[in-house]
Amino acid sequence: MLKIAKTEISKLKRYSVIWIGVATMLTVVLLTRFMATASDGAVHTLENFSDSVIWNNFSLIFPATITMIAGYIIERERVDDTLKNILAIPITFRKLLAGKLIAVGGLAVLLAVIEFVFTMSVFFISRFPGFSFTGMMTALFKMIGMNLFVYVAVLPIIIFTGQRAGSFMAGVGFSFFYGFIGTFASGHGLGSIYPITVGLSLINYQNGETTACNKVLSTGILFLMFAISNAMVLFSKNKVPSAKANKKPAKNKRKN
Amino acid sequence: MLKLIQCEFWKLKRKHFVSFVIFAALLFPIPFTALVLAGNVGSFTGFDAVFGLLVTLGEPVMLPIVLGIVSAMLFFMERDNDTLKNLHTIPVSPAKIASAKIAVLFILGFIYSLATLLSSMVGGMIAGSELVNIGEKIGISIITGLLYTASTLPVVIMIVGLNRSYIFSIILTFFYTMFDYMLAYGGQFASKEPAMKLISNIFPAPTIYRWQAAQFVSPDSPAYSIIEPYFLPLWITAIAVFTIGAISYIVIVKIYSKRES
Repeated sequence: MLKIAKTEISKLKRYSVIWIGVATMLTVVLLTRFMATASDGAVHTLENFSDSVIWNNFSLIFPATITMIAGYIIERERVDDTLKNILAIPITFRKLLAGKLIAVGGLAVLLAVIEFVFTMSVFFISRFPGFSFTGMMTALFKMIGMNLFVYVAVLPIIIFTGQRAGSFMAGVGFSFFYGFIGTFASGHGLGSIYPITVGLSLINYQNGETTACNKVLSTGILFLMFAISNAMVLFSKNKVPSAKANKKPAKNKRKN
Repeated sequence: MLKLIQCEFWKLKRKHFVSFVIFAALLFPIPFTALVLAGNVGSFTGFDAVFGLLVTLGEPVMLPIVLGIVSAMLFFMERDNDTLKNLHTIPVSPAKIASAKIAVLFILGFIYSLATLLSSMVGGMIAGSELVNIGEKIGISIITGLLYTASTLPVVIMIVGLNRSYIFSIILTFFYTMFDYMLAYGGQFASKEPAMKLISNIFPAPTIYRWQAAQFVSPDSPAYSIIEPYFLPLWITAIAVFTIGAISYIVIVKIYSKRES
């Protein structure tokens, strides 16, 4: 399994979609900086600037971005027609999917580190006050944690659309909606129940002051999402070949 | 032209995207109805609250993204299948093809706005209220749909002009929509900074939002006195947004004709 994940990481280097991930992280940080300019008179310390980046990241872009990257690398095997070679090795679709999901999990961490680097760069360029080494490390761990928790929350969508050829774009659209609704869920006391926002209480977002903070419930929801994802992977199937195989003879019959 | 539009729909039908547009329009009503049932939507209740949330918060985010994805599909279709040469020999001019594709976007925007209205009616009934002022709501819904479709055209210029992959186009649409949305819902049109004021006057979402605020912010609300000076009448909003739309349309047609001729 780890070998498959390692191979996927090697393949990831070839895909330009990674750079799209980097660009989204940069955009989120710049968007947050732009919003900071717009909020007249407010003081932006490292803690509240990095928290704002985390908020914008989970609610606006990260769920859709990570679903898109995962969907892209799964769909790529079908588009490049390499899936048949992999299945012939034989590596089952289930194992391949699991390997890809582990690799994308690693990528979620990498994107958090990139997000952190951009956040710190913009923080220093903007000369915001309140820098401390502890604050910096806290921001890094919060970003890594939140990205991983959001990734777990969108895993069922990735697995569901990953099994169906050509459907990952619909998954990206749904993930965007799923993330965006998180802002409403968090604002109405559902932060510890809604899968996308459970990470906020687990990373102690804004010291738990602005969001409902029930760590036991949040952990439970996260485990539930993880269990659902595992079950989905266990029963996953590549749903393309059978459909094509059924259609092709029918076409030939008509020709004859 | 009508035949060309019909052809574009047939092509889209293969990708099942019309059903995806309707599905997208039906997503937001579920959480918004839940919010209304929980009684968390200011002075509005029932159908009014579900409709208000959908038109002011759901549609401004979902419609441009959906239309961005559809426009990438529409404009890249001929390139991917190498079918433009066939269309040239019929002959159909690239300007006509581009116009038909943009007309499809407006029709889908119209369908989305009607689906939004219908879903808010269902949400309103679930919330236990009577369906009042339907005529007015149909008008607001259709106008919002058409305004946001026109507001999506600047990003279509980028999609057609840069002519990159689907993923790049979708990310571009995401960024544009998010930035536009932030300007409107972050209240940047009220900023004292001249640069911010200029940007929020150029981008379409803040202008549409200022018209919508005049329809939805109740005079009893504490926010009314703050936002009231920024209200815009429909005719100013329509002129501003459709001017952006018309310029974008001309640029899209020019780019498409130039590249494919």
